[in-house]
Amino acid sequence: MSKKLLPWEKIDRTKEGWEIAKDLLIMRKEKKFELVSFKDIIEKTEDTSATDWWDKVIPGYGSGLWCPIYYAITVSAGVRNSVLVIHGAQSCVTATRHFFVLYVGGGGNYYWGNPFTFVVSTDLDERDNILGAPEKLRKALIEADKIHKPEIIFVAPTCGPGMIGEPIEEVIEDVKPELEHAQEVVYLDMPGFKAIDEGDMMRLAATGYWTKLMQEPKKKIPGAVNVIGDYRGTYWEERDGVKANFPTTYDEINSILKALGLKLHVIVPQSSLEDIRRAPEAEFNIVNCPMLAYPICEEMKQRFGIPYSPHVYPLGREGITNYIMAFAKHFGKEKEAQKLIDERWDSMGIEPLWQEAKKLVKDKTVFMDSAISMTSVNRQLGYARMLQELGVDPKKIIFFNIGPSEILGRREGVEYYLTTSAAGKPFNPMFLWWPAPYAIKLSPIEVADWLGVKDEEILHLYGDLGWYTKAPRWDASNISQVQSSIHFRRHRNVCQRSILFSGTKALLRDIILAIKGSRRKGKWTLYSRILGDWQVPELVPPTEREREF
Amino acid sequence: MAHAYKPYLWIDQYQPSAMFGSVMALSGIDGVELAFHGPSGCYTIAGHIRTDQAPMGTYSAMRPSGITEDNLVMGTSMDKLRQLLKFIKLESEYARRKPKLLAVVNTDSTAITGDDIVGVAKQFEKETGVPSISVDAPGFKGWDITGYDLAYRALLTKFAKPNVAKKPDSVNLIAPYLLSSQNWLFDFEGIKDLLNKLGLSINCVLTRNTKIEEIENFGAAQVNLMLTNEDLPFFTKETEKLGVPSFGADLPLPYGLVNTEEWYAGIAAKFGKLEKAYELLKETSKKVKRVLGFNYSYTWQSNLMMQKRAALIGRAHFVASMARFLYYDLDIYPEIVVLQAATKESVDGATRLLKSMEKDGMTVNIIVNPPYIEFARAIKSADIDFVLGSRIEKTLVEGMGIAHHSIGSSFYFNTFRYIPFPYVGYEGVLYLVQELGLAMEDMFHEREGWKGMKFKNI
Repeated sequence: MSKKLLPWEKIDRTKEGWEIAKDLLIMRKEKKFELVSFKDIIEKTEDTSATDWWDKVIPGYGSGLWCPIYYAITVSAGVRNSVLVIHGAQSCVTATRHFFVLYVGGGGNYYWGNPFTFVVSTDLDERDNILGAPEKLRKALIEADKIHKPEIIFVAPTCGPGMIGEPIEEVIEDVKPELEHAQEVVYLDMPGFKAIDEGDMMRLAATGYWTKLMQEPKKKIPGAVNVIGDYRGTYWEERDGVKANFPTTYDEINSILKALGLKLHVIVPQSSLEDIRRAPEAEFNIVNCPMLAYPICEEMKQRFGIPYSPHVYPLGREGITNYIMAFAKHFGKEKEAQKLIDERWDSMGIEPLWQEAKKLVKDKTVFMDSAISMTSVNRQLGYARMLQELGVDPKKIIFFNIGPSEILGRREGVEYYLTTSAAGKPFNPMFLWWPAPYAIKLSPIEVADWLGVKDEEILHLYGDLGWYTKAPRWDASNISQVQSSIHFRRHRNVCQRSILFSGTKALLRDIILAIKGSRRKGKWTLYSRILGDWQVPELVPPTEREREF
Repeated sequence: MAHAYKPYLWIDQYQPSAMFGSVMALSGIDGVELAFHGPSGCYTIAGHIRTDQAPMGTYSAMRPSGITEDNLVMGTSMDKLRQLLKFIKLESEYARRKPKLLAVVNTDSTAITGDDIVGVAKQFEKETGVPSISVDAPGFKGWDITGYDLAYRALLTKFAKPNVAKKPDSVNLIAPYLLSSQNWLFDFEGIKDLLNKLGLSINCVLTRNTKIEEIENFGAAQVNLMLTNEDLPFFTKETEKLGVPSFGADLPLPYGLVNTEEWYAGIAAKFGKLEKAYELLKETSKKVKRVLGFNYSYTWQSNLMMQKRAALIGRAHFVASMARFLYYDLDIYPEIVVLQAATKESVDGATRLLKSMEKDGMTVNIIVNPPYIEFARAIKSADIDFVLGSRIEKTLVEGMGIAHHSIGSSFYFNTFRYIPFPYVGYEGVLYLVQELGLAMEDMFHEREGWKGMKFKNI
């Protein structure tokens, strides 16, 4: 492959965007794809947030990509007893309420249990958006403080005030002395046009804001560990008294820490202001979502000297061991940790499932699909790493439909994975590369045919929504399919992020059932018949069918 | 149009924007291609909103120009839009599918930069022969009403022919999505069915599976039947020019028995079909009675519901009608009704509907466009038994330990209702009572008790 992977290496960049789009359609038709490794992508792809990249992307990026203001609202929404004041048109708040907050994460969330979010909009009209309306922000802040009585207020601008350079920080500083209830007012400078890649949005939401709220610890709490970087299900039963339908990730982490004589201290960023202030009392930080966590961890390391472990997505015995041993080592509890890992692996009945799954995936080619960008590359890498540990040939782990910009946007997480290994081999899965942007997704059928892989050899982790589950060929009855999004992957007694011991066990069970289930050929699911062709099989009277047994 | 009262200069309520309105309205045109000029967040939500038109819908498409910070700062956003239109042209040739309409819509950022969406639409039409319009309805222009209104004006001025021959007994239906029921897709089908049974034909719908030819013949209808009481000033002006008067905004929406009777009577009287309407209702009542009569499950539920105190929150016309349904049909007391509305006309209309219950013994605490915190405090202090609203405030209400059931907007997505049966009309009462049954389950079931005192050796 060439040194650089930007589209203009493969296409005539002097052309206009629409002509490039035409070339891409032709490339797709002619299947001009190639397989590269993740390392290649990281090392050889230029900065995808560059103007040049996006200027040539026609039609523009879209499906499944969000907006920085969504992240501003979502990440800060779960901070307890907070109120958000969005300076701008109300439409952005309603947009966020409509989908993102309810189903993806943040406050008032259906699937993650976070409390309802009060989001005040200054409701700027056309004139305000052009000429500015700092007085409206000022009044909204004072009234929201008086009426809601919040502990903390977050302020964020939408595109309009962001574009005209509204003096938001000045207004906040000016109004602060007048507030009776809010102890802090945080300005999140994240208007909608500020970033394109989700990874960049998360980095924006994580960097600089949270450690500012923290205070120098009066004391260190021995054995205290923070978990950094999450906006979903940020509570645990023992402390909050909330028994979730699906235990939170923190319920499982808490049980592990307790077993080692350690203590789960604070979840950052979504805790109460008081807890965020106390976070530096911890001795060690561990990570949940790398994009939200790494900036905060780095800042806490620099400001408070708190070390952290970069490990994420603990799935599989190696993944779990690395994750737990990182903090166990810090506290000199390696032996206890090893014992705990062995005991849980055994007592939860994971080993027999592991062995069964190992046999079933042996010759599989794994399709790591990302039908929409919500399927975070870092989560997918976590699944892939476990599959490598299970014995899948690393050359047969194929990622596709993840835009190079998405990978680069989440660079820190990807770089972490590339430092790890599984089953004694460096972890560096394959990536089906071609210069199309987000807008053009490949169907797994195209990928399978291009690779020359037979249907029965495929294990398809299909990301967020199985858009391409289409009868007659692509269906759970014919292809081994495993859901790999975060919010759909819920199971009883499995922690919400589907990681650690419970997540590993659930994933193994899903893999086994998916592979076995793909033998029921000709019995298409409703979903695939709805999305694809509605196949009506040859009708066999029940009596004859029974005789076949 | 007068803006509805809002208690503060700021707001905290679910308030679909003008951009939502324009995208929803235009997505109801058969064969439309929307060129969406704005950044990713706006496009994503627009994509979600317009999925409401998709089930049982005709083909429409939308593509984004993909505006970035650099485009806005460097003033190159128009280039992006031009490129997008060239791509749309290319793709239509590639897919051999010529759009029946190209509609350019914009967002806050591209409206602030003053991008010439009118000019590019004209240019596209000149180059391709595809009828093209633009709708300047960015989010900051206000409620969805503004978007609907501007989209209707654009469609009527572009296509509607003057002086077309009148079709007897025909109506245009306006703004079906503003029924604001979460079941609006099937409610709309139910409304069409009620009208058809009365002998009325549907001339044109603004907009739902609407063909361009139907808009061309918009003027053939005798009247516009408004499915919202929100004010649509631009639409009103255009339809007056075309000689089609509007009516129905002051009627309750046909949810429940009493509302259906008033709504049907209002329409039937307009067309001299009162007797037929009476016969139709009489006939349908037998069907409903057959299902609920001697039905002990219903008898039980009915007694569960009676004399409960409810709060309703949602779009003004819808929740006012639903409150009347609760009171008149079910003997539930709708003590608090939160009216969410863009225009004073809508608030006034909904208030009139609610006030009409006073003579019949029910005085409602009407709250207009409150922030969620005040709504929460109101239902807390009033000891409300359950709330009917939308999925938006569900976590707030249930978080307070109060039963909540979603029946209203926002939109169809995630309602998980697929049986093609309406809430409207006499028969729709069956579905509504079923919905109320779910609310009663939420209200009466003591789940925490089950959990706290469960058998220890399971």
